[in-house]
Amino acid sequence: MNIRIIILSLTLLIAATPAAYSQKGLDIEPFFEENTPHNPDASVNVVSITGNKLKEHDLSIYRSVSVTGDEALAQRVERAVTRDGTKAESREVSLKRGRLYFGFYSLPPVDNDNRHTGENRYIFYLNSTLDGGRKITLIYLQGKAEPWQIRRMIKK
Amino acid sequence: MTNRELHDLINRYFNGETSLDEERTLRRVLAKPPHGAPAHDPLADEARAVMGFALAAPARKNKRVPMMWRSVAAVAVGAITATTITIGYFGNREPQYVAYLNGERIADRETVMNLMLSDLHEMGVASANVETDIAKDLNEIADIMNSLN
Repeated sequence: MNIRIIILSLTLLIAATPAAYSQKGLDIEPFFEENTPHNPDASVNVVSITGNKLKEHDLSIYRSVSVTGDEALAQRVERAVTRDGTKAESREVSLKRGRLYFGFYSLPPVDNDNRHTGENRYIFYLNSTLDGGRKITLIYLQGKAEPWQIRRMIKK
Repeated sequence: MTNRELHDLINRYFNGETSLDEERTLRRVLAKPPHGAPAHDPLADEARAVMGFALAAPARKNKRVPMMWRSVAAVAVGAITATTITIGYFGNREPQYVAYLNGERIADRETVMNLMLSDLHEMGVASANVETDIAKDLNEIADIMNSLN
């Protein structure tokens, strides 16, 4: 085999490797990137945490995104949450004016990541624009924490 | 493993879609081809070259690879091995506390943790409001049912 083709293949494999490791298989995943496309006038905040401070809560991964002033992005997020919510083992949702207002989903445990296999996964979604606010918030949690621990954590 | 399964696994390896266990399996099968495997398998030979194996088939004697390209290939193999090990072993272990507020990067641990707690508190308030609404609805239903009795 031509050595130049081998080197090109290696180069492409290096480029592909980081993307392969970031896959989670959820539709909400792209919205946690800091450069997710949005209205230039909108306010978009992204938080990503993996570290010892999370272990105090029996968590390994925390991701959140909040959007203010981009209705199109908000609707895309809502659709992604609804799609991922269909895979949930349990869900608590509230609708207002026909739209998803609040959602808490417990997803099946991780099974495609050797390091995090068996960890529980949760999604929180809140559209405060349906209740007088201006923001939509999406949160992804992953870790050994059970649903009751998550509920207790948000009530603090 | 059949030859077709081997080729599927090799193609997935080149596309960066294999897990560490699958790569170990591939390395083991390439090192010791199963009984009945074809004597000359170009795709398997290419995978062996990428994974650092000596080719099973004799090299072409009439065409020598220039030393420069051999060195570049060796460096590339080393780089990808190091990258795979680093991302696979350390990638998810390095603590990370990062927030982007309208594009401005914040990496202060306490600030980022406070943002997390603020987000979770909002969810707690919303969840409590939903529970209150549910209780209110149930009370209304109970009142109606009581009035019918």
